[in-house]
Amino acid sequence: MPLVNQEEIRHLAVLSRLRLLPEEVGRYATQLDIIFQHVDQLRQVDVSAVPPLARVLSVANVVRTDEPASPLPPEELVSFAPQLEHHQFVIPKILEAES
Amino acid sequence: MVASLKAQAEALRAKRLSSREAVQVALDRIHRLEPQLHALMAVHEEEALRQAEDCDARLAQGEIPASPLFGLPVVLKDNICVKGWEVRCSSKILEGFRAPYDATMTVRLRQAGAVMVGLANMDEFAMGSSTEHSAYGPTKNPWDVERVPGGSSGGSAAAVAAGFCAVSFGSDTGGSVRQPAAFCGVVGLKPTYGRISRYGLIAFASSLDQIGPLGRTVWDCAAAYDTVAGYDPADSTSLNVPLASCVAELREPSSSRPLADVRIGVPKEYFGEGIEGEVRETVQAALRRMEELGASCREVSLPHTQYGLSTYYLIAPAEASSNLARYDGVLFGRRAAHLPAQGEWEQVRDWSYGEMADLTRGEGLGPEVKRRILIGTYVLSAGYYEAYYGRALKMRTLIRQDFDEVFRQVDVLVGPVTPTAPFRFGEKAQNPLHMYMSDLLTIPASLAGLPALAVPCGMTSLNLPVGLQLIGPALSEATLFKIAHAYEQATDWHTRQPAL
Repeated sequence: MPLVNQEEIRHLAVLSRLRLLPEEVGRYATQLDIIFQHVDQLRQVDVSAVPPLARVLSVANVVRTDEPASPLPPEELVSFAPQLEHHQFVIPKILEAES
Repeated sequence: MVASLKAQAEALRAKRLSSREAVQVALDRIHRLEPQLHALMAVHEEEALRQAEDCDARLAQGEIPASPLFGLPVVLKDNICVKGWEVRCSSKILEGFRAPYDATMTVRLRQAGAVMVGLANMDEFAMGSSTEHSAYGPTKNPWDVERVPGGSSGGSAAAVAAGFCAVSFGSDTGGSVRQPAAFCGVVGLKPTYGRISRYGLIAFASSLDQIGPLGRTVWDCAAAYDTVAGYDPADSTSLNVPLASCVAELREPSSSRPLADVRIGVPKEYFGEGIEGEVRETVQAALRRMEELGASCREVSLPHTQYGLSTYYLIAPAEASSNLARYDGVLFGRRAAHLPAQGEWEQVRDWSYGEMADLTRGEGLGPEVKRRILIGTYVLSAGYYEAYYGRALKMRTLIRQDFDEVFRQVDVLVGPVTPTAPFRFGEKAQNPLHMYMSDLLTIPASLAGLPALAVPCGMTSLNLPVGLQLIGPALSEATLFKIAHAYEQATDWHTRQPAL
C-alpha cells in the first residue's frame, strides 16, 4: 500500500502554498512514496528511551543587551518588493469571499 | 598550471605579481572557459578590477598584507549576500533580488582585501548533489564536461578546479562543500556547526547549514577558513570559542613520519554496500600511505550510519519548508503575473493573496525544491510529526553518540567522501533517492555538527578525482588541516589539474 497518494499531495500542496500542475501531483506522489518507503527503515530502531537532539552543540541561551542601532533604511528594504506604492508593499486582497 | 593561493600570495608580497595581474588572469580564464563550464552565476568584472587596483595602490604605499587572500580573486556561492549584487540561490523566485547588506563572511573578506569576482552556480537553494537542480542550467565538471561537478556548491568547486580562483566559498548542509570538492579534485571543509557566521547566508536547513571554504590545496583552504571563521554576535548559533590560526600550524614535515602520533579510525560502514570498488581501493591506498607516514589505523564502527540518510531527509526538508515559506511574492524576488495564460482557472475571480502566493511559488520554485517542501510539510503535519520528525531528532542523538563513542579511541576518522566517482548528467535524475545516496557518507558528520574535510586522494581509471574525507571531533579543524597537509605533502594529487 502506498504511504503517500495523490490526494495527500494535493492537500500538502495547499498547506505548502504551492500551485501544482496535475502531472506534478502524480509525479510527487510516486517520488514521495519511494522516499517514505525508504525512510520507514527508521522504525527498525528502538528510540523510546532516546532524547531528541535539539541542538548539535551545547550552546547556552544567547542574550544581548537591548541597544538601539541603525538598521537598514526602510525605503531601501522595501525596494526589493515586486510591487510597491508609496514605499508600501502592494498585495492582493487577503480575505476571500465565502461561497 | 594554475598557481595555489599560497604561491600567488608570496608572489604578491615579493612584488612579482600585482593584484591587477592576478585578477586579470582569473578573468581571462573565466572568459575562455565559462562558456563550456557554467560555474558562475555572475561575474563582477569592473568592480573586481577596481578592487584590485585599490589593493595595488595600498601595496605601493608600503602596506604589508595581513591576509594571504589580499588582492587575490575569490568566488562566493550564489547564496551568500554581497551588498548590491543580485543573489539568487540559482532560483527563479529570487530573480531581481539584490542583497541589501553584506554577509558577515563577506565583510571579513573585504577586510582581508580579497577580490570578489563573482557568484557561483549551485543547486537551487542548495538542494542537490549535481547542480542539475540549478534553474539556470548545470555546471560541468572541469575533469569531464559530460559529468556533474557535484553539488550543491558545484560552481564553487568547479571554479577552483578550473583556475578561476584559488579559493572559493560554498555552504554545506549534508555534504554540499565536501562532495563537489571530491568530484572536482579540490580541498573543501565543512567546519564545526557555528564556526563560520551564517549571517547573510540564505537559509536552507538552519540546524545543519554551515559555510565552508574550498581551495586548491590544504593550505589554501585553511587560509580561507582562517579569514572568515570566528564569533559573530549577529548569528545566534555562532560559537564564542577562541580560534587560532590554522595555516600557522602547517609546516614542512620535519620527519618522514609526520603522522606518528595520529590515531586514525576507519569506519567499516564507510566501505560497505553501495561504495564503488575503485573509490574503496583508492581510499584504502591513501590509508596505507598515511600508515607509512606514521599514523596508526584501526577499524571502528559507527553503527547508525545506515540511518543517516533517512534521518537527514526528514530533518532538512522540515526546516526547509519553514525557511522557504518567506518566498511568497510579497517582500522580495519575483511575483507571478496575474492569471495564468493556460486557462486553468475555471472561475475567473479577483486575484487573492493566496492565489498569488501559490502561483508565485508553483512557478518560481524548481522541482527539487518543491519536492522537499512537500516532504517537510508532510513530516511536520499533525498526526505525522512524532512518527517522522520526532523520530528523526532521536535518531540524530544516536548518530551523534556514535561519533562521541569512537572519538574516545581515535583522533580522526578517515573514509571516502562519496560512494562513487563523478556521475554523468541525467544518470540520477529519475529516482530522487539515487541522487540523495550521493551524500550517504557526508550526512552523518553534518547531523552531528562535526568538522569534516575533503582532500584529493587519487584518480579513477577514467581520470576522475576521488576524495578522502577526514572527520574530527567538534572544533578540531586545525588538526584536520594538519593531518591532511602532511598527507598532501607526501602525495601529488593536489598538483593534478584538468586539461582545459
